Amino acid sequence: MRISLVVFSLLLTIQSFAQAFSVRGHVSDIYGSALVGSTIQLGSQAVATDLDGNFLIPSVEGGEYVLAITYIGYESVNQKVFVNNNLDLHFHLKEDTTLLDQVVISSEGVQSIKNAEKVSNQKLIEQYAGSLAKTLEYVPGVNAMEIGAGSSKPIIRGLGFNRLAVAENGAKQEGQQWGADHGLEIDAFSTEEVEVIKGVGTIEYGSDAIAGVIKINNEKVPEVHSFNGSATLFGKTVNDSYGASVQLKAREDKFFFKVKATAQEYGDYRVPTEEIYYLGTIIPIYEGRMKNTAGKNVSLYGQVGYIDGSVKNVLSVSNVYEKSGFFPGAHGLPNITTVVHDGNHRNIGLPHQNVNHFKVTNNFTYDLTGKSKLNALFSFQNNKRQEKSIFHSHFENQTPPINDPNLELEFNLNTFDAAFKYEYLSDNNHKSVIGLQYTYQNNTIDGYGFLLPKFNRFVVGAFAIHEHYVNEQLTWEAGVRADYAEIHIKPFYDEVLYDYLIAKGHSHNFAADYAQRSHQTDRDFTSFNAMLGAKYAYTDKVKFAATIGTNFRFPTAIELASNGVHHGAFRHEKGNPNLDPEQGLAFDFRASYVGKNFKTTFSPYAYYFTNYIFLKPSGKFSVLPDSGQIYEYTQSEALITGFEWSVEQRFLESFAFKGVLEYIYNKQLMNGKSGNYPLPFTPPVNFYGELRHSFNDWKVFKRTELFVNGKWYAEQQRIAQGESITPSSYSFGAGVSSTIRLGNVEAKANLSATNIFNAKILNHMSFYRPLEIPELGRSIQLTIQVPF
Amino acid sequence: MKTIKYIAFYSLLASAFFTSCTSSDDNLDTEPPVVDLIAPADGAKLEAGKDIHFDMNVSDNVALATYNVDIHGNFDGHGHGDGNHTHSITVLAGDHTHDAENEARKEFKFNETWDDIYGKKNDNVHHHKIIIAADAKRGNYHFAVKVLDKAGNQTMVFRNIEIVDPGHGDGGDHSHHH
Repeated sequence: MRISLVVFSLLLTIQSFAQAFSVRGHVSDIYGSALVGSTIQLGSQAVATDLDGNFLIPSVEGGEYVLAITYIGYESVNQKVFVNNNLDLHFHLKEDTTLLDQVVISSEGVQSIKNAEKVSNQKLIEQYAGSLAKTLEYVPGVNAMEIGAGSSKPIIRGLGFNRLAVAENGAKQEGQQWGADHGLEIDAFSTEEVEVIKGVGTIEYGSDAIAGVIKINNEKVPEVHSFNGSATLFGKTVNDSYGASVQLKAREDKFFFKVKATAQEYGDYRVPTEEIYYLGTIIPIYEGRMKNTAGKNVSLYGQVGYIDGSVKNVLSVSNVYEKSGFFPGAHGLPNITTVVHDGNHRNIGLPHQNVNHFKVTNNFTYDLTGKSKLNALFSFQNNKRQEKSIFHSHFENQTPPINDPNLELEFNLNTFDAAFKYEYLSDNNHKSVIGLQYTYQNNTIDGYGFLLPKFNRFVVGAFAIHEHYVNEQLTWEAGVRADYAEIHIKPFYDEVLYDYLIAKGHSHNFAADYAQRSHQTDRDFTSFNAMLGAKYAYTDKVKFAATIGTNFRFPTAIELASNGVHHGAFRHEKGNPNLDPEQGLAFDFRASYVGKNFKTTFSPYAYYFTNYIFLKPSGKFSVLPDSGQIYEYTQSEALITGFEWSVEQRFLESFAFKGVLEYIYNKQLMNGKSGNYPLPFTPPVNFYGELRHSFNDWKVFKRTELFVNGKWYAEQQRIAQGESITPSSYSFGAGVSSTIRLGNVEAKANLSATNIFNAKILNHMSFYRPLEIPELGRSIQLTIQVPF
Repeated sequence: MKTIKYIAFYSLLASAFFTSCTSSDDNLDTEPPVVDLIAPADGAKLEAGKDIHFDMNVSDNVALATYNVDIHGNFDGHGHGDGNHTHSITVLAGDHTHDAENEARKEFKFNETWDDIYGKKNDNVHHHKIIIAADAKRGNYHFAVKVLDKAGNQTMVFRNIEIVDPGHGDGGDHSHHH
């Protein structure tokens, strides 16, 4: 490894004292985060920094020495030091960018026990695929459920919806994640760093963090006395989308500011098909474009931070707005006349959805003694989702509302979070963390349709984690957590439905029973969880990590009390007020080998659920029009197992190959005579391969790379009830990326093509899969980022 | 070489996973019934006051359970103009919907479930049990048939039909395909 010698900043505090001198200090990165385990060499003595980034050389004779600090992935420090006093030195190491830009990254300085993968903003922009979850798909084990071309929701190991947690700056994102047509309301461009933690995050994140946690960090502290930013332009041919993003950050000494804005607009997307087949009807696709799938989104982000010695406070405010159309031919019963081209591919007609997510978070951190740290987080989120479609009641006695007559469904969810965390580092490399979390939610509804009742809910959780860094080879961790939750669901009586049923000649009792769309439901839940984990470095190159622990999820309001037809899912879904908290046991193992040119990671896992909550067909037809049979929420034992296996190989100096194989197997257990069906939305076996070639710098083109990639999905035969077998598919992509240096400006450009052969691919995890709507056709996209 | 050793090790592990997991799946039925709805045909003009000629062939790989016929009006998109008519769900707008006499009539609604196909693997259902009320509002309707098998798998077939004045029907067998 090439090491260049740059000291970013060196602060000396000199105190006068007697003959025997001590040299102590702190090593952190340029943002002030401690670099744990960096090596400090002073003359003939060598020590390492502890978990807080501190080091101490207790006895040094006076004189001149060379001080060397090394840390993998960072530029080393080599500095002459004259010791004639007790010294307290503070070092900020700069990331070794030449190393990070190489294809095979070995930046995991300290391998964590968790099965985690970090994705930088740079990588997100390079890989940008229209929405955040879709962009993260290249991380082994992550899949995305796409809702059109501009929004998507993440799935880890086949588990999505409320079975994974997304946290931004420590606060869990609370939207309408139970819904199949809900996309994650986070802007990929303004995301500074994403950490994908696969496996249970229950101890720290509580309910929902079953499959994993997508942890977004937007609180990176800018460098001292800096002002910089970047502008990004983005365009894509498959839906004629274009977008722009501007990011600015500034820091004086103690205060820092960030402003980010992104806007994107897209038209109807292109699909490689001329017709789709839905409910026995052939629906034509005019001009190869999915009518009314256009959309737009705007997101704004502002942040003010204060950092002074032991105090750090970061206040962030963000708003993400999105409007996107739904394909009208399959919203409810198939309809051919609505899909006729209206001469405009960029208008957003009905039906469509509006989503707005507003969030304020404040993170306060106080370093009490240098060995203990206190963190307080407060956050407020408002998620408002509206689904609009032409007033189309089947009840002739129902008149359109006077205000907003086409508002079919509205969910307005307010979430308030407060969380406190105390970290303590004791001698011999022990670290303890205790935390307390409180969440309050309130949901109100509107619209002429009914799906989910009003509710409010609160959760209190307390946890403790203990970590012991035994030696360079072994670290273990144990955690426990207790939670208590209450949910209060409001009743909803549907008079229109009552009158409709009476008019049809049903009895009063029958009609009244159906018209009571939700009942007053008051439930409280408790859950106790524990985990144990360890990592072990067998050699420098061969490492193992394993965790075993329980996980849980409190049933959602939709699972307890929904009762209605959702056009997206096209079935009458009925909640079950007697559900228990979903409880599971998970095992996660990881073995990795990291050599000079070869790197591989194999991670098998297994989840067992005592009561996996799912929708089960009841065999009874609903009296609600256009609904089919009733699907009821029910619970059964379930098993999920599988593995991710990734391989990276560099060869012939400038070539690199990367391959990722994913395999998932799941099924219900002990489900009685109704049968042990596989779970819905399960990704089939799939393989992703990519070959990269990096070129030498040539004229203005620096760090140029050429890549080709391919993705293969096996046939998914193991399907849940109501799903269809999805055939095998493969698609190919290629692209080139380069940094163009013109004078002082370095623009990063990325030109890539996806689905080059315009293959017709059905995605088993897509919202549009039941409608036989294929994935996006061929697309060429260009991203240009200019830093300043 | 060490690397090769590890690859071999992983491959073995991987294959162990595959073999242990792909064995013994229960006899699961995810295959929905097959429905061939012969009558009424799409676009059929059915006369008010008369019975509907209903004819379909149904089959299932395991066993059929029940079927349901649901008929309801498809008059949407009328009467609340908001400039969005390109998206309204108006199919073959009938002439009858706007005259005063028809406005006074009530929408015809029908929703009934039969289980005489229960347990059978295939069957022909042919009857005239669905009778359109004489005072049914004329116009466009959805005619939806849903068939369930014993495992709860569902197939849905639907037709756009029109309820017309007596004497103006086509018997329901008129073929109107695209």
